[in-house]
Amino acid sequence: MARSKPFLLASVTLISLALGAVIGPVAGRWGWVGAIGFAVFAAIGACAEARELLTDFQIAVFIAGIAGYITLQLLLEAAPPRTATVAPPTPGRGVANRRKSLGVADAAGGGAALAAFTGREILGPAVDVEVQRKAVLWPPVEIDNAPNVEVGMNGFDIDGLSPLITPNKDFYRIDTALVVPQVDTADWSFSIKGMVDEPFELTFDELFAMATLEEVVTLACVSNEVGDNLVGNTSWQGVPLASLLERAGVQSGATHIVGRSVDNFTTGFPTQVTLDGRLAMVAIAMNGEPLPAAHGFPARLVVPGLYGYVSATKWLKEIELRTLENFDADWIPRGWSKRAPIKTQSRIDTRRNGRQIDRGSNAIGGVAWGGIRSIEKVEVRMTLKADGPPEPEWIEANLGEKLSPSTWRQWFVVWNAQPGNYRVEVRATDGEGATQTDVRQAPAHNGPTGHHSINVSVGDGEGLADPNALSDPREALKAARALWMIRHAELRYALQLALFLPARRAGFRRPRGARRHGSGRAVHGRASA
Amino acid sequence: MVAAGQYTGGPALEADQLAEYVIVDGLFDFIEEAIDGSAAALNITYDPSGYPAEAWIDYEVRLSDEERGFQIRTLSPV
Repeated sequence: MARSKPFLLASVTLISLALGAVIGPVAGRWGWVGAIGFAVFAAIGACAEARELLTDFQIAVFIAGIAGYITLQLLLEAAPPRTATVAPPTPGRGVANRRKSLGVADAAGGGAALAAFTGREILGPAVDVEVQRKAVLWPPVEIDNAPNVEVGMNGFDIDGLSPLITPNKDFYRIDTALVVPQVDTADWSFSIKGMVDEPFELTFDELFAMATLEEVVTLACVSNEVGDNLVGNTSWQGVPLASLLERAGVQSGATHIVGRSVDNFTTGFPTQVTLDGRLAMVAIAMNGEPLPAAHGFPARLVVPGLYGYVSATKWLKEIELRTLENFDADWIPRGWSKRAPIKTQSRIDTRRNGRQIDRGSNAIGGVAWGGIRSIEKVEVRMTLKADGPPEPEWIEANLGEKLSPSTWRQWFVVWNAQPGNYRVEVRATDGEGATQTDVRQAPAHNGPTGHHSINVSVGDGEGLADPNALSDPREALKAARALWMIRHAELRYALQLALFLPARRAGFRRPRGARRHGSGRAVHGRASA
Repeated sequence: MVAAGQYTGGPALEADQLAEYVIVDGLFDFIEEAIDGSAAALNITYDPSGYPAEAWIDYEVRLSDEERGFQIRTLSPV
């Protein structure tokens, strides 16, 4: 599953140029080589979109192949003869040929630009997705499972720890679209068809007027290696898939829900997963704003607990009910599993492999996720390499908030690290009591397994700074907060406090004009004395 | 918080009065607001665990009776 589209595009360009550099000179001697070269190239291009025959893309590839061959022939005719000759060259003839070649090249370039411009004019002006996103009118939220979730909500405030809610700009992107589809909402529609009693189609306005639900869901890519970052946790808003299917009337025997994007990419998952209570949806917003273009505007499928390649269709245009036996979505013929529940995983965020840390108190933290099974326990162990087996006991980590059964949970432990070289390892236990296996398995073909571990070297320096030793009050406050957070974040402490002055009532008055700073956590207190 | 009393040693406060008090995060916010509000003088002592054990804040040196402060004497989990 391609992770670097710029690399892919650059590779295609370079390979095309390299093949052109080879085919061009050879075609100067044997003209048929050029014809075959362009024919093969066009055929490869057409096969890249072989889901249907005679699509606009395939016709464009065919025309481009012919245009390329004609251009090659014109360039070869204009080029100076390559045959060696003993006769003295005609004065000025070489210059004239080169000028003619340049003229043909200029004409070809101009023609390509004109074709691109004309094509755009015929197909209409480019769609400005940002304008369309800003024009979205918000539908009502019927089921709000994320009422207290804020964009950028951090959860534990520990350096390096993934925020509880992943901002849209940081959410991973894995898809097969080389260029992000720019969907015009005026032309877009969403339909449900196939093995249903009453197939129907909705316009953009009709879909966006329907009642929605909001739920925090962790999505993960099946190709996310142990410890990698192709996973994110976001508040999604969308139309419940169950209500759409109910309206269509799913026929008995329709065991397969196929999602299809505007560029004909398909995913598919068992119909049964929509019946177990998980809040699958046709999502129209993430983190309180319309889906960004790169994440599927105007609509995408979100199915909690399933890897993206079987469920998370972006730029969704239709859902088709089929049977599991008679249809394979895009990744299935490549050997990937048809049933793809997200496996329980945990990751260390706060330290990088191979880094040195100071001795003393160090926060080791990360996130853990378990599909729709949630996470009930995370454990960590630090093995001093010189000791060898037996390995030390697992230490139970502090767990962060559980925003929904389908979200990841942050975790941390405070490690009083002593000098030496260690392997730090984490494992999670899900809500069904199943603990992650330590057997390492690559992502192919149904998701990775194994514990994430890192190697750290503990040096002789001190760990967290002593806030009382810092002269800058802001730095001291920051250090104190870090200390407090890692030592007591999950505990509720009662305090008995006494005020020096005034002694009229115990409580705090916010200084006049002072701004309030929130960290996303609830702060209980009185605003005035 | 389960119990609070005045510095001079008053009786334990009732439950509805307890709701008016802050937790440790609130004390950090209190100090941060004082820093942001350019308090004239701050004297903060932090416990080794990180929580602010004692604070004395003078917002305006030319005024009296507007100073604020606190001292945490005991800390126990709820």
